[in-house]
Amino acid sequence: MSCEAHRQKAFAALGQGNAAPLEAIYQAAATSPKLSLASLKDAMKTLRARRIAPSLQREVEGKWHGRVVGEGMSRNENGAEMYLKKYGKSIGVDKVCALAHRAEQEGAPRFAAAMWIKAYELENKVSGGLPILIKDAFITEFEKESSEKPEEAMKKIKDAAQGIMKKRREERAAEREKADAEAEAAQAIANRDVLPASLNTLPPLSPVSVPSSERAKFLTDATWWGQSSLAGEAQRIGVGGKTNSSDVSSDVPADITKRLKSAQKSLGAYAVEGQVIDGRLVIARALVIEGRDLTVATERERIEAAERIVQEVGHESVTLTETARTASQKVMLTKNSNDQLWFPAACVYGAPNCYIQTKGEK
Amino acid sequence: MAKSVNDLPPMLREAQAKTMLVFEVFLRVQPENKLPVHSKEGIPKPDNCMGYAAVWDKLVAEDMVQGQTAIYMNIAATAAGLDWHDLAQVFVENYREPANKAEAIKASAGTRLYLADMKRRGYRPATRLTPDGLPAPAWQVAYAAVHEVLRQGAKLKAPAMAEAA
Repeated sequence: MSCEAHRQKAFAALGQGNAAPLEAIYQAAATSPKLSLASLKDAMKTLRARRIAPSLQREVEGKWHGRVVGEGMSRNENGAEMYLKKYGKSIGVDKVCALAHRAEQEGAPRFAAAMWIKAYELENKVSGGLPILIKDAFITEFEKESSEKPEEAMKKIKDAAQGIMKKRREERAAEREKADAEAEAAQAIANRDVLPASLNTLPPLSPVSVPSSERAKFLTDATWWGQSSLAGEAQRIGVGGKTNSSDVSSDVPADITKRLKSAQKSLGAYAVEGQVIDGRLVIARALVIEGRDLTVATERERIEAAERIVQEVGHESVTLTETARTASQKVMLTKNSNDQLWFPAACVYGAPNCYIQTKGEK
Repeated sequence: MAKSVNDLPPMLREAQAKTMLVFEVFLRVQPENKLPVHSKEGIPKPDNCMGYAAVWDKLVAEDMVQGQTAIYMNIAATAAGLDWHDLAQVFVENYREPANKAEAIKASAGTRLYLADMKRRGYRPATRLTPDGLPAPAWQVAYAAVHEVLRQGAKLKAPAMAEAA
C-alpha cells in the first residue's frame, strides 16, 4: 500500500469514514515551504497594489489610534488576531488592506503581516485559514524584510529629520527676528528721548571744493541735490532730555531754545545741523530724530526729518535751508547763492566725495 | 550525510515534530496500519510534513485529539495533572540535536523512561527506533523534555493529593 493510501485510511478513520476534510487541509499545506511562501508573497503584491479609498484610509486612521493603539494591539500578530476577533467579524478586504498599510506606516510589521494574511484569506476565500506554519513564516519574513530596507527606511528617517530640522531652523530664525525686532522697538522707545552718544564724536562735514566748471554735472544729474552752503562752520544743535550729547547750544537765542525744547515732546530727542543767522535758526539737515541716528540714513531722510522739525516748531525763527531737487531749482540756487553744496540724495552723512562745494554765479 | 535537525528551517523542524504527533494519532486510530512514510529516518518529505503539520493544527483546533484518538501525551498529562497541549508544545519546541554529550546522555535516559511508561500504558512511539530501542538524538531531547515536565507535574501533584487526603 502506498503512503497516500495509508494516509487516507488514517484520515478516514479520524473523520469517521470521511477522509476529504483532513485530506484537503493536508493537500493545501503539503507544498514546499519556500514555494508556498513565494506564492503567498506574490499574491500579497496584488493586494498591496489595491487602491484604498481616501475615506476608508481616514476611517482606518481613526480606528488605528482608537482601537489598535488604544487597546495595545499593535505589537504583533496576536494583536491583529484580537482585533479581527473583536471588530472584524464581517470585515471587508479593503479595510483589512487599509489596516495593513496603516500598520506598516506606523512601524508595526507583525500586525501588518497578519492583516495581509487575513486580506489574502478573504480575497481567496481560504476556508479555515492558511496553515499556521506558512503564516508564521510569512510574518517572520515580512518583519525581517521590513527591517531590511535600510536605504528606504534611512531615506525616510533622514527626510523626516531634515524636515524637522529645517522647520526648527525656520522657527528659530523667525523667533530671533521677532526678538530682534521687539528688542529694537523697545530700544527705540527707550532711546526716543536720548541723543545718541555717537553725535559727540561725529566729524564735521568737510565738503570738497571743485571749480565752478564742474557744476554742470550736478545741475543735470537728478540723483544729486543742492543747497546753499552755510557761511562758516555748521553748528550742531541737539535737543534731548537725558542726553549724553550736547544739548541746545548757548549760542542759540533763548526764545528759539524754548521753542526747540517744546517740540521735543512730539519729536523725541533730535539734533540738527544749521546756523543762527540774524537771530534765526536756519536748519540744513537733521542728524537725529526720535532718538534715531540719521547719520547712517540718506540725505533725503535727513532733509525730510529737518522739514518735519521746522514744521513742528512752527515759528519763523526756525527755518529750513532750501534744497534744490529739480534742474530749475538747481539753476535758481546757483544764481541766488554765493556757494553751493551738492550731494547725492542717497548718501550717508559725511561720505567721502559726496559733499561737493562750488562757487555760485552771484 | 543526513542534515542536522538544527540546520533545518524552524518552520520545517516544527512541521516534522507535529508530523510525529499526527503519526501518533494515526497509530491510535489504525494500530494495524503502517505509517505513511518510507524514509530511513521515518520522517516524510518536507512538503508532506507541512501538510501533516496543518492537519495537526486542525486536530488541535477542533479538539480531535481525545477519546479514541487520544495519544500517550493525553493520558500522561492527565495522570500528572497537566494540560496535554503544554506537553505537545514542549515536544515541538525541544525537537533539536543535544547541545553536548551530557545532554545527550540525559536525553537518552529520559527517553528510555518516557518510552517505558508509554509501553506500559499500551502505546508505541511514532518515531523510528534504532536497534538499541531509542529514536534519533533530536527526538530523544524532545521526549526527555516532555518526560521532565511530566516528572515535575507528578511531583507537584503528589503533595497536593496527600494534603487533600
